[in-house]
Formats: sequence, structure tokens, C-alpha cells
Amino acid sequence: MNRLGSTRSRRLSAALIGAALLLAACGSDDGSSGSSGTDAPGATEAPTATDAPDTTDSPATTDAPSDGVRRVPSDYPTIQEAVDAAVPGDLVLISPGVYNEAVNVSTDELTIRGLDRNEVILDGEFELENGIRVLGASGVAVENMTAINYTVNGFYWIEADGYRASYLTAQRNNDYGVYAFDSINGLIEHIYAAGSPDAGLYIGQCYLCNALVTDVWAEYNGLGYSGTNSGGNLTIVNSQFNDNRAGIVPNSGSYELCYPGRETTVIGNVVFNNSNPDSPSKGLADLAFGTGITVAGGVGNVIERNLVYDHDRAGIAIAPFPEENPNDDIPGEDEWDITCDVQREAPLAEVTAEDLVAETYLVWNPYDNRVIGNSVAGSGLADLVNSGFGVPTEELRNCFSGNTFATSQPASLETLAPCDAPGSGDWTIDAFDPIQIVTFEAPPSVDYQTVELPPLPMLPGMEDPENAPASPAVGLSLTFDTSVLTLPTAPYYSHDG
Amino acid sequence: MPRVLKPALLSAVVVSAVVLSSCGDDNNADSVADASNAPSSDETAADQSVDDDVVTSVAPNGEELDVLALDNNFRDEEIEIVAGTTVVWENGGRNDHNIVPVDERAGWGVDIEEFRPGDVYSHAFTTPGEYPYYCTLHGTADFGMIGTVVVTG
Repeated sequence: MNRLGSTRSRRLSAALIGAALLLAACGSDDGSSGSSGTDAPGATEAPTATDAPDTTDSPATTDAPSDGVRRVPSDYPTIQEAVDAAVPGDLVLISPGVYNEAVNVSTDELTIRGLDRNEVILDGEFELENGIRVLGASGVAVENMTAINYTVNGFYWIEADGYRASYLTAQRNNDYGVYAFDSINGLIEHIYAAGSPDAGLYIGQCYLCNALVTDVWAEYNGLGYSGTNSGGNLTIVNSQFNDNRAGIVPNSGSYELCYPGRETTVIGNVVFNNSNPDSPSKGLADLAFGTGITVAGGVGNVIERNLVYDHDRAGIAIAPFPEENPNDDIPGEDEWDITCDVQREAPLAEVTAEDLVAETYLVWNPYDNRVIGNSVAGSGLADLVNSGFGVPTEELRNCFSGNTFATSQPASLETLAPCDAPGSGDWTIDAFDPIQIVTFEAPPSVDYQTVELPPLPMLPGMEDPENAPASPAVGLSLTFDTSVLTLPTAPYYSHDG
Repeated sequence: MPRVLKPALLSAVVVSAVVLSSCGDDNNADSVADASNAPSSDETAADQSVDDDVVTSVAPNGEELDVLALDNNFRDEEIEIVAGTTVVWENGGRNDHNIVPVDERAGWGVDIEEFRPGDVYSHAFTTPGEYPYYCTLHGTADFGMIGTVVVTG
């Protein structure tokens, strides 16, 4: 027998049933839709339909609007119908209401906008998979709305070149609130994400990602931010991660392609209380439980000027990631600059016993990470941690300078490993024992459907959604002058108003 | 004597192979490798793909080929096997996935509940043809997490 190389060509015979029929029969969410246009109460619980929709009897318009705006429900009874009718450059404008839809988007350069961030609500009712899923379309912007109760993701981009998520609220979505997978050139801004067992925000499988994350508030998730095998001009700033199981966790792993995770820049964020046993969780959230910022086997990340406090285990940990059941061996340093589009096509190597620790773990060690100018306090184990496994920690080339902290493992970490200066000292004093990463028992997860969460904050929406023109995710300004950022002194957000 | 399905019998085979009650529900839905019974319901796609040509199904031959389901890719995305070979999918990711044939009548595939991280699913392809499939959570029939099994005679 022969294997073919990976290709995307597919020859479909005339007898194959179309995807829409299959997915309708299977009850999956390829554009399935439900009621629309009901009044939406603002609450943490799944809203219930109250008043009857105003225009459910309105037939879908088939004429292209002269102004490029397709209104839901006045022009189209469902979001999906409006999206399906739209052409590149159009604006899909959604009126307040509860929409029991799972919307698929395949048209480039759409702007999909709610007229009110807090009152345009996509509700999956724990039956539908994704709120809005962008399937390879370039330049799609989704803004000013809420997605709740989806069995997979709230807002999801796959293989997008150009994406924007703005003024979005996501709660109780079973994987991620906002998710950009294998996508580049993206802007994620003004986001609230809570109650997701995996992470509030996730960017995965991209290098160079060219993505900017700013003004995100992620709480009561497994992870606040998760990024596997992502990085390269990926910047996370001015955001808050609190009361998750762990705050910010970029990592490497062979369960996705494009490893290692590398070159994520994390500056000017507030990260606190990420030791929450009452949040839902899956996967990495348990390994990293009780840590503020953990670089788990990542390379070349920059962690600067973050305010980090009150974590049961570590404030900032540069640590190895022990991967169970790996699918490939670890790329050598000479492969770290290979871009994702090339690396993803490389054949997978057979993992042998020699590659594993304790016959179980493929250990991704963290290299070349810089931890500078952070304020870290209130950590149960240590404010700063630097560790590898199977490699002397001093050979990992991680460095620490200018941080305000009380404890570190190993002791005197900034003397041992300063940035841009030779280090000295004894690495064995108070060295972190990486075995505890795998022996640590995290509290059991709680059901994302029923977990008690803070009330949905009524956060500001975009300015003038009714009249602002369409703004597809094209030509985004993704550079951020991080030199202007200062160390935060207090949380950006609270429920106290 | 090889069993030959003439065009007149195709409709009956198609009807008998229809699975509409649940997505990915497989008559051979065990999480361990199984030898499909001949004739296999994947014959519907094969027969229709070769129009009036004669198509011969074979018994499982004991050969296996692995496909890895990562987050969110099938590796290898397209494989070629000889008829009778069993394809073994393993969920090597950290997310749930499913395997859903594009041809909803195909009668093979696996639900999310039985293809969580670490789970294995297998199916013997006994009839030549092309069998595209995908994960509904992370793709559609022609985009995203997709795969194809090309079965040669």
C-alpha cells in the first residue's frame, strides 16, 4: 500500500450527498439556525425568549442592498441567511435579540456586527457547536455581540488570513470563548471571556502569527489565555486574567502542528487569583493550576511589566511541559525559525522510548525566555520559577531582570540568570523540582454548563454601530509600541463597577 | 466467484446503507479495530464513483494503516490503501473530534463521545473508491479538518 502526501484536492463523485444535508441529518452546526429576533435579557444565565420576534414572517431578500448592509432580522430572518447572501465587503448588521444559531462564514471580508454588544446574543443552548465559525475566509471581522452556551467555541476562525474580534463577550462555551486556529494577521480586542473549560482566549498553530491581543478580560476559565505552538509577532497587552485555573499559558506540544510555541510577547497585563478550584477545566489548565503566567516549554517569549499576584503555586513560571502520548519528536534548535506553512507538512517522526522520560513524557523544555520588570507577589511556592527537565536549568538561557519579587526557585534567580549580563551563583539552592508538575493534583473540574459565574458584565460596545461603515480585517495595524506601556498598579476591571 | 454489484442493485444497497439517525453513527462503532462484514456499506460511494464500471469488494485482509487526528488536522490528510485494508484513526489531540463521512449513507465513522483524546476508531475499507470525511467540530465537508481514504482495487 502507498501513502499519498497531504493534499487538499478532493474529487467528489456526483453521488456524494452535500455537506448541508449531512450536517442537517447529524444535527451539527453547519449553518443550522433557530429562532431569531426575540428580546434579550442581560443575565449570566441563558436568556429565555420573551417577546415574539417582530419580523419572522419577513421573506429573505434576494436583492443586493445598495448600501452593502444586510440587516437581521429585517432583511434576513437569520444571521446565517444574511451571511450566505453577503458578498465581500458587506456588513451584516444584527439587531438585538437572542439567536439560536451556529453561523458558518465562508465569504471574505465580511463585517458581522451586532447593534448592541450586550443585547445581540448568540445562544447555542448547549446543543450547537460554534457561535460564529469562519472557515478559511480572509478578512472577516466579528464585533459587538455575545456568544454563550456553545458546546465548542463562541467565536472561531480557522485558517484565516486577516481576522478581527472586537467588542465580543463569550461565556460558557465548552472549549474556547474566542479561538483563532492556524490563522494569521489578526486583531483581538475588547473581549470578555468566562466559563470556558479550556481557555477564554486561544491562539494556536501559527508562526508567524502576526496577531495583537489587547484589552481582554478573561476570568473563570480553565486558562485565561492559551497558546499552543503559536507566536511570532504575537503580542498580548493591556489585558486582565483573573480567577482562572491559570492565567496566561503559552506552550509547545505535538498535539497540534507548528511546534515549538515561540516568541509571544506579554506586556502590561494584570494577572491575579488564578488558582480557582471552582472554574471548569480541561487539559493544560490542571498542569498549570495555580500559576499566573507559565511558559510551558516555549521558546523566546518575552514576559515584561506585568502585575502578577496571589497564586497558589507560582507567579511567573518558565517551566518544562511534559507531554503524554506525543505524536512527534522535538524539533532541534535549527528548526525553530521554520514557519508554520513549512513545518506543518513535515512528516511525523516515530517517538521511541529513548525520547521519553519515565516511558511516558516527551519533555518540552523552555529556552531563551526573558522575564523583565514584572511585579510578582503572593505566590504559594515561588514568585519566579525557572526550570527544565533533563537539561541543566542554566543551559536553558532563560533570564530574569528588574523584577519585583520575594521568592524564586532556584533562589537568587536574577543573580543566577540576569538578562544581558553574566550570571553567577549556585543553581542547586532551592531548585524547582519539575516532578511536581506531573504529581500535582488539581481540583476536579466543574461542569461548564452549571458552574457559578459572575454576572455578565455589561461592557462597552463599539461606537456608533448603526452608522459605522463596514470594517473588514484587511490591512490591520498590528504593531504595538510596547515601550509606552508601564507596569500596571491595579486591575483594569472588576465587577464592582 | 467475485461478487459483482450491477447497477440495478445499487439502489437497494444505497437504501439499506442509509444512516440518518445520528451523525457518525457506525454499524461498526466499536472503539477497537473491527473487520467489516462484506458487503460493506462503503460500497455505496465506490459504486457511484465508478458509474457503470464493475466494482468488486474484497474481504478485510488484515492490513492496517494509521491516521492521526491532531488538533485540528488529520495526518496524513489523504491516504491510499488497497481494498481490504483497515484504517485506524487515533485521536492524538487534546480536543474531542469526530469522523464523519461526507457521504452520509456510508455507515461508518465515529461520534464525539467515542473519539475523545486517546480513543481509537477503525474501519476496514473493502470496496475501491474515494471516501472523504471530516470532523464537524473543526471543519466542514471540504474545509478545515478533513481527510480522504482512497481505496484501490
